[in-house]
Amino acid sequence: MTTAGSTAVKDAGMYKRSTRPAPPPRNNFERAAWMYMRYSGLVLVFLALSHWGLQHIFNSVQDLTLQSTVNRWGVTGQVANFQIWFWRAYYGLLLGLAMLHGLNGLRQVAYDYMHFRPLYWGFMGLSTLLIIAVSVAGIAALLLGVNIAAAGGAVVR
Amino acid sequence: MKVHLKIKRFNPEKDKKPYWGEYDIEADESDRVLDALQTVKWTIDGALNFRRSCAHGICGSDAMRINGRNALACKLLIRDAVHNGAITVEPILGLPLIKDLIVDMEPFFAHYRAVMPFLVNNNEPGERERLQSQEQRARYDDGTKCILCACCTTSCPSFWARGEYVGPAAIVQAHRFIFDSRDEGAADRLEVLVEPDGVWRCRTVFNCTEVCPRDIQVTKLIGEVKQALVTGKID
Repeated sequence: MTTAGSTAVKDAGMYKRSTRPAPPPRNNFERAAWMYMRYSGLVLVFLALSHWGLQHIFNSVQDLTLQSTVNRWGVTGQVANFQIWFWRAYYGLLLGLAMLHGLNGLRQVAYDYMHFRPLYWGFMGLSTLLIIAVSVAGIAALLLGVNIAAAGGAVVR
Repeated sequence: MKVHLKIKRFNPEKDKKPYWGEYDIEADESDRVLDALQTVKWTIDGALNFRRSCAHGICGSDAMRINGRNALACKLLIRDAVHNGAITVEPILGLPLIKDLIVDMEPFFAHYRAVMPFLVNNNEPGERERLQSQEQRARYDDGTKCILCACCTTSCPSFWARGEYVGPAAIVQAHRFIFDSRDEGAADRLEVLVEPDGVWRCRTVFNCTEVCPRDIQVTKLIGEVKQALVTGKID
C-alpha cells in the first residue's frame, strides 16, 4: 500500500457506518415469549432454590408438618399479617411464573412436533385448561389458608 | 488397515426404505472417509451415490452423517473416524432423501435465499469502493467462512422436527450481512428472522457449533441476531 493510500485508509471519517437506519426492536409474540422464558427462568432459579433450601436445609425433615405450612400461610378465616402476605406473594410468584414458563415450554415443543394444526391447538387448549386449574387451586390454597377443621384440628393457630 | 464401512443405501427405484450396505476395504489411516467411499464406489459397487466436488473442504458438497455426527467426508481422516474397525456413513438428516447419501438441498437453499444473502446498498459507492476499517470487517468475519455445506442446519433438532425453521446456516448468512457496515438491508432480514420460524426456534443446543467444519461459532452468531432483534441495535 502506498503512503498516500495508507493515509487515506487511516482517515477514520471514511469508515462511518453506512447511513442505514438502525432497525427498531421487533415486537411480536415470539420475541416476548422468548424474553419471558429468560427473565422468568432467572427469577425461578432463585425462588425454587430458596424454597428448596427452606424446606430441606433450614428446616429439618421432621419439621415439615402441616404446622410449618400454617406458620407461613395462616389458617382459614385468620386475618393475614405481614408474614402471611409475604409468603402468599412468594408462593404466588413461584406458582404463576412456573406455570406460565411450563406452558410456554410445552407450546414450543408442541409447535415443533405437532404439524397437524388441529392436534396442536387441541393439545394447547387442554394444557392451558390444566394449567389454569392448577393455578386456581394453588391461589385458592394460598388465599384461604389451612382449613383446620379439615385437618382434624391437629395444628396450633 | 482394514475398515468395515456401513453405508446407508437407498435406491428409490428398488427399495421401499433405506438399508445398511456393509463393505470391507483396505485404507491408510491417513486417508479420508471420502477416499474410503470412493474405494467402495470404484472397486466394489459403482452404483453407490454421494456428492463430492473439490474434495478439500471448500465446496461443502460431501456433508454426511459419519458415526452419527455431521462432517465433511473430505476433511475427516479414517483414523479419527474409525471405531472398533468400523465407520458408519448416513445421509444428513432433515432433508428429503434422493438416493444413497444424496439429499435434496432445495429446502435448505430456500431458507438461505429467504434472508437475502447479498449486499443491499442502493447508494452510490462514492469515488471508489465502499471502505471498511479492519474492525468493521472483523465484526462479521466468522460468518464469511460458511461454505453452505448444511452440516449445522441438518444437525439441529429444531430443524429435524420442523423443516420450516430457517436453520443455523441461513441465520449465519443473515448475520454476515446484518453486521456488515456497508449493508442497508438489515431491517428486511430481521423481518424474516423475527417470525416464529426465525431465530426463536433456536434452543441453543450447540450441535451446529460442534459440527461446523469451518469452526464457525454458529450459536454465538445466532445469539447476536437474537440480541439485535431484542435491542434494535446492530453495532
